[in-house]
Amino acid sequence: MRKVILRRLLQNIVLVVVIVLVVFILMRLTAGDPARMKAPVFASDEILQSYREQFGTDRPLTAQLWDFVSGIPRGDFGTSFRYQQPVFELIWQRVPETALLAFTSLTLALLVAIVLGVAGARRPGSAIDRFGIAASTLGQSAPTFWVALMLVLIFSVHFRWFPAVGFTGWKSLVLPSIAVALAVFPADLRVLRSSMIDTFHQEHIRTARAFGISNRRITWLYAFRNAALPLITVVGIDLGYLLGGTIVAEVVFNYPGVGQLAIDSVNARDYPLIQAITILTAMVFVFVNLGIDVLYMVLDPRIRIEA
Amino acid sequence: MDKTHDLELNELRAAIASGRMSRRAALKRAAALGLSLSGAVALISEAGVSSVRAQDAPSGTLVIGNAEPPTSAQWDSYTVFGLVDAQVASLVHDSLLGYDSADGAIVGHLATAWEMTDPTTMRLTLREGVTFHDGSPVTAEDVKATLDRVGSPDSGLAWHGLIFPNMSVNIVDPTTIEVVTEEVFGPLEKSLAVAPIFPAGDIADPALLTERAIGAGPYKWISYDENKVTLEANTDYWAGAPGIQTVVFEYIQDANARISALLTGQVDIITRCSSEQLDRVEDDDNFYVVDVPPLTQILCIYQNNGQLANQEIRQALAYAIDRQAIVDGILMGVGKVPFSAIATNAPGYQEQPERFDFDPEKARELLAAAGVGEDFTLTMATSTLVPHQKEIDQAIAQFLQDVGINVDITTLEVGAFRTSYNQYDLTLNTLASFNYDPDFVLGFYAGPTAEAVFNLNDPAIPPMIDAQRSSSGEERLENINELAAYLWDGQVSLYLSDELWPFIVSSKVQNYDRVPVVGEPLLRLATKSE
Repeated sequence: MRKVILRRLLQNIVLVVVIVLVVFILMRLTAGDPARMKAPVFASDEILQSYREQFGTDRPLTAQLWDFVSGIPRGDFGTSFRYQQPVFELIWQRVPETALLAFTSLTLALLVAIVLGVAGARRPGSAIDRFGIAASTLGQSAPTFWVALMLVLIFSVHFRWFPAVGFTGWKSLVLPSIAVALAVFPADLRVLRSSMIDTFHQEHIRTARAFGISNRRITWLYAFRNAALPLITVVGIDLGYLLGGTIVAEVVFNYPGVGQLAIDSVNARDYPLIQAITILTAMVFVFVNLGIDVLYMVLDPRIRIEA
Repeated sequence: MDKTHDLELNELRAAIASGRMSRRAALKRAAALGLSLSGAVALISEAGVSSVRAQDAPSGTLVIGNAEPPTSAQWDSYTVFGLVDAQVASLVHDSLLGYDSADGAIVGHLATAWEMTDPTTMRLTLREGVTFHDGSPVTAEDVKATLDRVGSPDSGLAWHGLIFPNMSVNIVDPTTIEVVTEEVFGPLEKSLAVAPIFPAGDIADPALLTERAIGAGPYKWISYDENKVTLEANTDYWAGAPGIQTVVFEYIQDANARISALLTGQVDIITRCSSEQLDRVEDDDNFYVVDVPPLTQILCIYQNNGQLANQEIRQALAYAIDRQAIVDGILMGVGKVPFSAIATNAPGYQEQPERFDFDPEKARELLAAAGVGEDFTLTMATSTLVPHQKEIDQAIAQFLQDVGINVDITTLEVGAFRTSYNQYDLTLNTLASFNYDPDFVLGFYAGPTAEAVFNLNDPAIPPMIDAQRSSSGEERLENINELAAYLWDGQVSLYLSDELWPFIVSSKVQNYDRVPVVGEPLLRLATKSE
């Protein structure tokens, strides 16, 4: 197992290096000069040149790449063009809010998926099962920005229950979390539901029933523990949706997180900030998924043996 | 009758003092009561000053929601042209001259008196006893350091050349200075009214301005984090403490989020609103609209080096495009169609005799006279930089197609658009003056900027720019009009509309008003009820 983990770790490091290079090159290939983003439209060439010198974008690409790559091992991702602060500091300031939003959204999504998925699997075709399927279809088809806007109109503007923008405490988390969770839970629900239905048909469950074990015990102790394994994989994939979904929610709710910083940095062609956010986000995604694979092996002896 | 008149005047004074009436409404009411403009201004000023002074202390928090953040996290006002940069600078810093009322009259701030002693020298008497927020006195050395820097041709500052010419400051004595310009510079007074005075120490070490801003204005800079710039009242301000204790400029990127924040009371003012946002508060007594713009225009920029180098073709485009229909139909009337090359509220604006009203038949005639064939195609880049940009661009393209001009539209992301707009024949953009003087925008039509922006190099323009710069009074207004008329007759750009800058304000905010500059110099007079 250790060999497998080591191999995966190396693969992931190579993957991150490739991402670093691709991000660096893509940013330079994209039209848009950071100096022109900062300067007014009608700025003179002297002003533009002084910004280019300040940003270092007037230097050869290889020199820029070397500066960037050599700083990464030290945790130095450069200085933001717009904020003129080390980008790692800027991102780190925003991580708690985004992590909180991602955590609450995921928790909410899993809660809903587990409740509806298990209930639906126990009685396929029942009212609660149909409701779960309908809700997941709605969640999957409704764009996060539209859901977010509707939530704001109803619960902020009309009822005044929750703030429309910003982060002022737990109340600020409610609507963005619902908006993101609504996009995330359908996949969890579908996987869990079908996995639970499969498990309910397996022999050990039939045996458990024959022994007269209570339905609740069978559901949670025997079926759910088995059926939840694929859910762990889906949670790893959820992370991708979460990263995308939080960006949308952060913009619509003006939530001060990393997602909003990412949008601003793209608009300003703030290369160091875009690079750092993309790389750190990719690393989170890659290594959380590695963690999930390891967890899978720990939890499921069959996979451990295969490995 | 006289007694009734006096009673009405007293009621007007009380309404202004209590903040129930805005300054502009008061001006109109005073005019209706037969007061002269100067009399009305004096009455408003007297009542307004008392309203601020009557308060025990500044109170409340005012949040202004902006569609843009500060240009960067540094507070060197002379290097930037952003809305938030100007808002912050106008409150944190004081200037030698400034604005105290909505009529846009320039009054003394850090200077108590000023006069032109010769065409290139302005002598100013400095106000005594004024201090910066760190407690140090504002001295002639601070003024000299600040203005010498922006007046230096080697400064590399964005403001040099656009707002200030080559100039320097002589200290006559500790309270008297002379601002000496190399050439006669007509807009000097207006430029000094938006020029923040920094401590000399900050000028010597501008790196300090990346950490904080220290000024002598009515508000102290406190922080900038998570897209919010926070200011606190300076109770030692020489003209009296401001009415509101805390002012926050919050960047809210999404237009829906901005209006939602206003409707839920999370912000008190949203700036540069669209017609859709205005619709949301129409007939709602909880809000009112203030729409005093700086001199701002929406232009369709032409690249004058290709097919559009031909004046007849440019004029044909002007006849082909129904500007009023675009303003009414897409901008929902939020804008004013000019009949000259400068904004209609610009000093010196005069409607030109040839209005280039919508006349597609005339457009076709001009195109035929210019020898334009059926394959005539113009390139256009569109984006989302200007409000309703894509809709306006589509309308322009349709109008041009109606007279036989093909338009090849490319949609670009904002960043790409800003970088490459001058590679397309037609691009929509906005142009705002930062010092309430048309010289700021007229200056774009000459030199390297004209070549970069319009691909324009017309030797007739620089002498006209110099003529308006080096004159004053009525003569200067005539010179401004002469240049504006020249640009208009040649249709160097399509002068689509003024941009109105409607701000939606919560009715909890009283005495809020604006003057035609980008910043908020009158915000210190506003109050807020909870």
